[in-house]
Amino acid sequence: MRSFTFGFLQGVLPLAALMVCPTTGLSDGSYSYTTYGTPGLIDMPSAQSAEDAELGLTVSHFAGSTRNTLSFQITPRLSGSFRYSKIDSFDRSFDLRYRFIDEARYRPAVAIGLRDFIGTGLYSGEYIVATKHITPRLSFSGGLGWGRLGSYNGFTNPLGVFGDSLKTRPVGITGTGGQLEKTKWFRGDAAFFGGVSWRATDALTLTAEYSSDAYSRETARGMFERKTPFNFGLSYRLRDNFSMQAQYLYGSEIGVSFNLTANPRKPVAHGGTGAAPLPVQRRSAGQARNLGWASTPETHKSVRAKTADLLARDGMGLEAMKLAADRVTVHIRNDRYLARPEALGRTARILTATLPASVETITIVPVENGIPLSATTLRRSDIEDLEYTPDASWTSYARANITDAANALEGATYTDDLYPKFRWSLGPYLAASYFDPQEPVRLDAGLQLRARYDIAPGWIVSGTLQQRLAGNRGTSTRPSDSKIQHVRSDGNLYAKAGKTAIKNLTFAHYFRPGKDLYGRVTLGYLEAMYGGISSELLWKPVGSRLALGAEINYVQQRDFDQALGFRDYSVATGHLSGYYDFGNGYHGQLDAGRYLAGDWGATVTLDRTFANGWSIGAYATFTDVSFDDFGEGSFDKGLRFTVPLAHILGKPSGQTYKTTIQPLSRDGGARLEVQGRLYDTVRSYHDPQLKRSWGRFWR
Amino acid sequence: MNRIQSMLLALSVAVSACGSETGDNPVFASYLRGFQNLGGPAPVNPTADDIRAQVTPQVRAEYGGAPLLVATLDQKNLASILIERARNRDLVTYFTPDDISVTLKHGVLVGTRGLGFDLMTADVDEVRPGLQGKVQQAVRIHRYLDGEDQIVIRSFVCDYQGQQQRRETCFGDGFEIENTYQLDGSGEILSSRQWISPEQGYITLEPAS
Repeated sequence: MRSFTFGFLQGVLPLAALMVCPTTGLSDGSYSYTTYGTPGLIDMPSAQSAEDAELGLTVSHFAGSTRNTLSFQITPRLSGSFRYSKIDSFDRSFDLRYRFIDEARYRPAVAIGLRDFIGTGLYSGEYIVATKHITPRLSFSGGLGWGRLGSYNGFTNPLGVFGDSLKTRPVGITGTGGQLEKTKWFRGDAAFFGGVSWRATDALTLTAEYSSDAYSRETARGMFERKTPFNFGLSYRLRDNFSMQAQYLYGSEIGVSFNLTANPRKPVAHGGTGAAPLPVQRRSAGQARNLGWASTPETHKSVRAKTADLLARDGMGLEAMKLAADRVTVHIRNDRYLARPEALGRTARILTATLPASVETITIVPVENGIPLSATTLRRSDIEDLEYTPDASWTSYARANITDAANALEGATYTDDLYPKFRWSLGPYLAASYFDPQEPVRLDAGLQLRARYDIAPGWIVSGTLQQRLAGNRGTSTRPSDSKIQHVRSDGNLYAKAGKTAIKNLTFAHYFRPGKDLYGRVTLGYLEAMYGGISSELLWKPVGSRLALGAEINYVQQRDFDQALGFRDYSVATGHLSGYYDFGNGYHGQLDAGRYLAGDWGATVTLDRTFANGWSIGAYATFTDVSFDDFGEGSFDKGLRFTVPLAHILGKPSGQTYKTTIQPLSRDGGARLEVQGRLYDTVRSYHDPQLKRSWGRFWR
Repeated sequence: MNRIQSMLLALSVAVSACGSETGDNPVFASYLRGFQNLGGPAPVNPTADDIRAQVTPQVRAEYGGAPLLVATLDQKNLASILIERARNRDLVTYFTPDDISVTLKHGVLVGTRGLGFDLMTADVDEVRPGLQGKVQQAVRIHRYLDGEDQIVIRSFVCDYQGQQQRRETCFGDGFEIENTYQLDGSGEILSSRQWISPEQGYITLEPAS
C-alpha cells in the first residue's frame, strides 16, 4: 500500500526537502540563476537554458521585495517558472522562455521569453536575448525588452513597423487577473539590456549587467532609489545543487538570494543501492522430465511457502498461486519497486529457485487492492539462459508476453491468513496551506492514525484520523469572498474546526468487470470536505497508450469539524476522462464533466513523466463559471508533482510524494479528492510504462 | 507554539512512528544515521588483510563450505568477504553479507548488483582469448542504467600485455581503464583488479586465503 505509513508531508515542503538532500553531479555551473529565479545575468535574462529537466528553487530579496521562484526546464529548449513575490503586496506570476537558436561557433544562442504573462502583470515584460560565449568561462548577453524590460531608456517599439497599435502598451489588467495578457505582449516602448558573465572558478561566477528595468512601481512607492542602470553580482556554488548570490543593484541596494536545484534525471545512485536480487537457479539437465511431484498437495504448499518467504525478503508478497505440472501463475503484491519490471524480474528469479523442475511457463500477475493488473508470461529457460547475457534486458522484454489479467485469479490458491487482514499505522502529519497574504505559508502538525481492513480481495474498509497538536492554518481570518457555492474556499474553517478530524472513512470495492476494464466503488467519508458515493470505470488495454475513464459521484458537503455530520449542500459530480501517453515522457489528460459547484467544464493536464517515477505537470480548468464569478485568478490552474522517495534514498521504495500547487484555490472547477483512483496504478503495470523501465528487469 | 517548534515536534514524532507494518519505511532510519554520523569519528573500514585474517575454518563452515573471495572497492577503500551463492553454467555469483552481488564469468567481471551505478552486464567473450594470449585485441561492451533507468552502452577496445600478470588496457567512450589479472599456469584467473563503472571505479578480487 503506497505511502500508507508515511503520508505526512504535503505541499511544496517535500520539494524543498528533496532539494537539500545530496544528489549526484548536478548542473555543471555554466549558468547561474537571476533574482527572478531563471538562468541569466542578475536581474536580466540571458539565452541560456538550465540543464534539461532541472528544477530550480530560488529565493531572492532586495529593497523590501522578495521573489520565490520555482523553475522547470520543461524540454531542453522550453522552460517555465512560477513565482510568488512580495513587492508592496503579494503577487503570483508565471514565465515562459524558449531558446530557438542554439549557440554555435560564430552564432549566439537566442531565446524569446515572456515574464509574468498571466496574472496581474506586475512583472510583465517580454524579451529576445542572445548569449555568446567568447571562452568557455566568459559570455556576453544582449537583448531587447518590452514592458518592464523596456521601461528604462526605452525607444519607440521597432515592431511598430507592423502597425501603430504596437507602439503603445495597454495598461491595467484584464478582469480578475490570471488571464493571458496577450494584448500587451511586445507592445509599447522597447529598450536594450545586456551584460557579461565570467566564471572565475568552477564555483564562483561574477556578473555585471545593464538593466532596462526602471523599477517605476518600487521607486514610486519609495522602496528604493534607482541611481544607475548597472548591477554587479556574484554567484557562489556551495554544493553541487546549492548556490548563493549577492548583488549590488542600481547603485543603492544590496541583494541576496539562494538557489537550490534538483534534477529528476539524476537520482542519488543510478539503478539504486537496493539489495542484489536472488541469483537465477538453473535446473540440471534432465530434471524437467520429472513430473512425480505434481500430485502431492504437500509439494504445492511448500512451493507456496518458499515463494512467499523469498518474496517477503524482497519486500513483496504472494497473494495467490495456481500451480500445474508445466506452468504456474503467481499473483504478487509489490509495495517496494516503483520500477515495476524490477518486481517482475525478482519474482522470476525467485521462482527459478522454488518451482518444481517440470514447470516451464511462468506467469506473473501483480495485484493491487485485490485486482489483477496485468499478466507477464515468461519461459523459465529464458530466465536461466539470459542472466547476465549482454542484452538480457531487451531480449527478455521481447520474449515476455504481456496480456490482460481479468480472470487470472480464477482457480488460484490464496496464501493462507491473507484475508481478512488488518493494518494500521500511527505517525505524524504536516499539512500546509499557501499564499494567504497575511501569512504566505501556514502549517498544521499533529498525529495521524491510519487503518485499513482488507475483508476479502478487493473489499476494503479504511480510514484516517488526525489530531492536530499545533499549527496556524485555522487562524486565517480571511473569509471566503466567493460569489458561487463555497465548495473549496472554506478551507480555513475546516482547518479551524477540525482539531480532531476524520479525514476519510470509506468502504471500497475494486473489481474487474471484464477484459481491459477496471472498476471501483467507494462509499463513506471520501475526503475532508465531502462524503457520499464515488464510482469509477476505467478502460485500459494492456498495450495501449490511450485510456478512457468515467467517474460518477454523488456527494454531500461535510461539517467543518470533520466529524460525522453533513452540511446541506449536495451535488452530483463526475467526469469522462481521456488519458494519453505521447511517448518521450509526455503525458496528457483531459477530464470533462461536472465539478463540485455544479459547474460544467473541462480540465487539461500535461505532465512530463520520467521512467524513474517522477512527474511534473501543469493543469488548467475552464468551466461555465464566469471569470468574474470565479474571482481572483479567473480560472483554476496549478502545478502538480510526483516525487519518488527512491530518488533521495537510493534504495527502492514504492512511496511517492504527490503534491499540487494551486496559486489560488477557489470554488470554480473544483474536483472531488477521492482516494484510490485507478489510472496511475493500472498504467504502471502496463505498456508503454513497463517497456520504459524494463532496464530494471534484471536489477 | 511557533512554526519551527511545530516542525521539530513533527520530526520528533516522526522518529517514533509506529504501526503494524513499519518495516518498509527506511526514511527516518536513514536520516538519523546521517545525523548521527555528523561530527563523529569516521568509521574504520576493514582492509582486505583484516578480512582474510577473519576467515577461519569456523567461518568457512558457517558459510557451508562455499568458495570465498575477498573484494575491495578501491575508490571507497571498502573490503568485504564474498560468498559463492549460485552457478549458472559458467557464471558464478558471489554475495557480500550485506547483499551486494558480484558475478564473474571465468573470473572476468560481468555484473554487480546493489552498489549503485552497477555494471548491469558485460560482453566479455573476446576478453578470455585476450587474457590467454590467443588474440591481440578484444572488444568489451558494458551496459549500465542511467538516472532514468534506461540501458546505456559503453564499449571499449582492449590490448593485452604481460604473462602471469596480464594487463588489459581499454579505451572507449572517453575512458581509459586498466584491468590486471594474476593467472595460474593453466591461464585461469587467481586474482584481479577490474573496472566496474566510472562512479564505482575498480574492484579487487583475491582468494580468501
